[in-house]
Amino acid sequence: MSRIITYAQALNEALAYCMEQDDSVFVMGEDVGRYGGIFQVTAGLQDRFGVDRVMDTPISEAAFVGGAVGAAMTGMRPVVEIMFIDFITVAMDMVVNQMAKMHFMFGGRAKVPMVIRVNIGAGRGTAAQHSQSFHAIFQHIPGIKIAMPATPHDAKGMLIEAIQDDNPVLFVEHKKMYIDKGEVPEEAYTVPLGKAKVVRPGKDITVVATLNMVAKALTVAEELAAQGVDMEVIDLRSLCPLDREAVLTSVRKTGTLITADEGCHTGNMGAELAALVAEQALDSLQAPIVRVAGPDTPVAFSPPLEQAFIPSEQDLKDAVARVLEYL
Amino acid sequence: MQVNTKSQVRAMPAARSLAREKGLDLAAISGSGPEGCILKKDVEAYRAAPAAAPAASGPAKVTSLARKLAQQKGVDLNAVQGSGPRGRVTKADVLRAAAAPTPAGGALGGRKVPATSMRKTIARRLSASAFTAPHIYFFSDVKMDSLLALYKDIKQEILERHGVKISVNDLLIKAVALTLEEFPNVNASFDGENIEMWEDVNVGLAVALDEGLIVPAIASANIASLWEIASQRADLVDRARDRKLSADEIQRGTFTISSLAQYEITHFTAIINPPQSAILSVGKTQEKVVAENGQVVVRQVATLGLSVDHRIIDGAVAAQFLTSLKKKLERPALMFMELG
Amino acid sequence: MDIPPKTVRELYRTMVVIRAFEEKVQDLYARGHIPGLAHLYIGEEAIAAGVCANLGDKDYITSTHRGHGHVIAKGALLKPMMAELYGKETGYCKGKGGSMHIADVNLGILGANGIAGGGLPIAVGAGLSCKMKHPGQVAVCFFGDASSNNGTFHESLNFAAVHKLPVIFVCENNGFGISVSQAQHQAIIDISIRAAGYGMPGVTVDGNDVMSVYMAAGEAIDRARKGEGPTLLECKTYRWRGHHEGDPNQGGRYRSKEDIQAWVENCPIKRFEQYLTKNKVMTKKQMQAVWEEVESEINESIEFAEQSPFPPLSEMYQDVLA
Repeated sequence: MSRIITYAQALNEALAYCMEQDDSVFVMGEDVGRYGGIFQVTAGLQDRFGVDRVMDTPISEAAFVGGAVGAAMTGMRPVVEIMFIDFITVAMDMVVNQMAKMHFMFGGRAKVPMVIRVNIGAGRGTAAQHSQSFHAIFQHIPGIKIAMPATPHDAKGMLIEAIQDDNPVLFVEHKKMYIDKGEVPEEAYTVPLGKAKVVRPGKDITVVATLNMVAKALTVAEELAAQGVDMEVIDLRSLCPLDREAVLTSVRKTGTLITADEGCHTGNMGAELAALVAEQALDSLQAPIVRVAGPDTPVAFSPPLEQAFIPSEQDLKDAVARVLEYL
Repeated sequence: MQVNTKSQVRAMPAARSLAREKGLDLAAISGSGPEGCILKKDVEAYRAAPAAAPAASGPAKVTSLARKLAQQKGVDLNAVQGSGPRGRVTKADVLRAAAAPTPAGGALGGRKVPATSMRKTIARRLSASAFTAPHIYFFSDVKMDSLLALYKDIKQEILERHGVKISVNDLLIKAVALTLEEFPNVNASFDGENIEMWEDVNVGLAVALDEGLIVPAIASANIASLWEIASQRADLVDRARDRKLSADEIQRGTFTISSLAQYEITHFTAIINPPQSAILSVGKTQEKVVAENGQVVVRQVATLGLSVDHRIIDGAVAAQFLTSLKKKLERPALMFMELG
Repeated sequence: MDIPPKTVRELYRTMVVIRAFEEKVQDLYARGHIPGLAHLYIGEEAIAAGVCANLGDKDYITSTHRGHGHVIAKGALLKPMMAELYGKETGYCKGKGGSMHIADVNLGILGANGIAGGGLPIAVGAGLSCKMKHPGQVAVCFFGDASSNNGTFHESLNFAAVHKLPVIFVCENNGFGISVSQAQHQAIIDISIRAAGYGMPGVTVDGNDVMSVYMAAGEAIDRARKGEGPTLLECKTYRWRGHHEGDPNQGGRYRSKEDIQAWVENCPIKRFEQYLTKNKVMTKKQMQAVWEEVESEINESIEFAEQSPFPPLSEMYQDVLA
């Protein structure tokens, strides 16, 4: 039975389900307990599961991310909340040198089944140190799965899947999407990590998007359909494992690729897709590859400047127009 | 052999791979994309329809020479008054129109026409040849009387036996091919490091199109019979005019013959067609007064020019080549004997 | 001292194994048989032995780049250890970790760590597990004086204290962080006083007296097992050799020959042998037998390592993700 709930509520349901099923699952983070998390994702969980399983931590990212690594290695399944992805840098050693490496360094004999939930994105006036979208950096570190659910439905299913996965998972949400509404089944279900989804099949132009850019791509697709342009929109859903086949299949079909992700242009996840296509499907390309991304700047505070940072539907349309010059 | 066109022409990857698949030379295809980029659809369309008529097509009654000249000089034929028979536009008319001051335009007047991708490719390749290969030039006056007599003698028989009309050029091609066999250094290519002496002797014949010269090559001209050469030549020239040559038919050439014999040209110097190392220019065969054994006689004389790449072909070799060729043309019987 | 004789003999044997192993590694390294880096524990044996004698297989430890001693004391087997140092397939980590990353989660060894201070939060996490799932079990964290300045030290002690986690923070104060002496890297002398800043007991002992270490560690571990929270245990000691094999003159660039010599004479094994002899717990002959037996075990492990193959290249792609 499906009903309409928000993205945040969907995540909450996933957490509650997993904590109920498995007492090794626990939640840690700043203000996740009594306050319910600054975006209310963990609302009500401490009342239900107690202070030991929904822990308010000191402001010590290194300690509690590293602590999650130690707990995960010794039989627990921690779900850490990092308040904004920007703060993960305080725990970078624990993420890169510890969490991502233990399984490999110890010859497969240690597992680190933990989830780090973060949010990216500008648009809430939170300025340069609370608005970044540098999730692509982690794609460059082997040993970390990266999930990016774009709908409340996928948020619930992918979080349950991530918690049950024996690997470290960086679970990337968007701070403006917590109030998005969507259909979510009441019961528990999983959505696989590492599988992209063709949310709108089309034959003219391929757009591969993440998080908030998926909805924008769909809006643009509907508009352009009326003008005779048939866009194929793919929700990438995971940066690692990366569903290369889905991307390549679509590019071979349409001869085009537009990527859409809020990270900065240089080193955007679209850059990796562009390189992938250049390596494996060059002969199919009829037009240049275009990355729709944020500019190579920090996010400014001033509202008009902040708005200009966020890739828009117009940016997508401009990208499509450029590609159409070659078709 | 491989002519390097891959980096010079702008084309989308899908266009490039389709052209490769269809054996098309990208240099011959017009790009409709931004900045003249060749798109996949341009390649798809190329096969489907022959090239459109040149821009300056003008009225029907224009001599072909006048048409060519008009294009070269950027003259709008529609604006030219024809003074030839029944209002035909002649070369003189075009020249007059070209000399006249233009109504609009800047200080020098004139028209700006964007160069086609083919013209740009030609420009690039010939510049590369001229500025990379040090050219040296040799000329020889050849008495064509015997050759012309041979031609007259056998042409009917070949027509009846093989259904092929031979031309004097075919005899020239054969003579050139046999001479190339004797001089492997001339049937060769130099890349700066190695001299590649080609096994095949594929003699190219320059064909003038409105957009520029195109040089299809007659394959294995040293081994082919005269009527086979004629047959290839006729087919290649026809298809060149229809822009239906394959990339290989152009790229396989190992030597080029460029003839302006139909013009009032005594002799001229040609630029080598890269990556070949030599080119033969052919001037008009004309009646000339010559001395023979102390007697004054009139003979049909053509001046042949040979340009060679001095990096790998020295003066003596070039001279020997041209001398050997001349001997064959003046005594065609030599072509049927193995003479060193 | 009411330490059972069996424990005393075990303490002695553990120290001998560590010393003999490290001396062998020193030799093999010098002769180019072991690749990479080697950070030897020679001179500090009493700490690993004294602390770990209080632990069971189900208790956890995190170790440092100078971790051979901790790992041996916690019960690691010599063959897979040596094979790991050689980078062979039969090593604890299939050759993929090396000296600084030896681990056996089954023995509660959560890894040696190449990052200074890297093991502290991990030990805290293990403490969390213990508190939540295995009350009575503890996590011990070994770290050096220099790491006590790292952010992770402060965050971890604070976290463990406020959540009353069963973690024992064992600071091996050997007076140096590579070449920088303690006086040059912190303004305090006894690191144990930092415990007060976090709300936990702090104790300083002579790290070269294995029995003091054993007793102090035992107390802290008992407290933790009872759910009374973490302790900071500082053990003063000295490493005889340089920071790493290759550090010129055994750290001679930043330490005087006299200082080194003084600590060599303060050898924890020699001191314990004197104690054992004086109190007639073991005879010289028995002690000699231990050395011989250990020597032969180590030689077996070297042979094992040398005979073992390197991992196949395909192993590079294994275990990136589970």
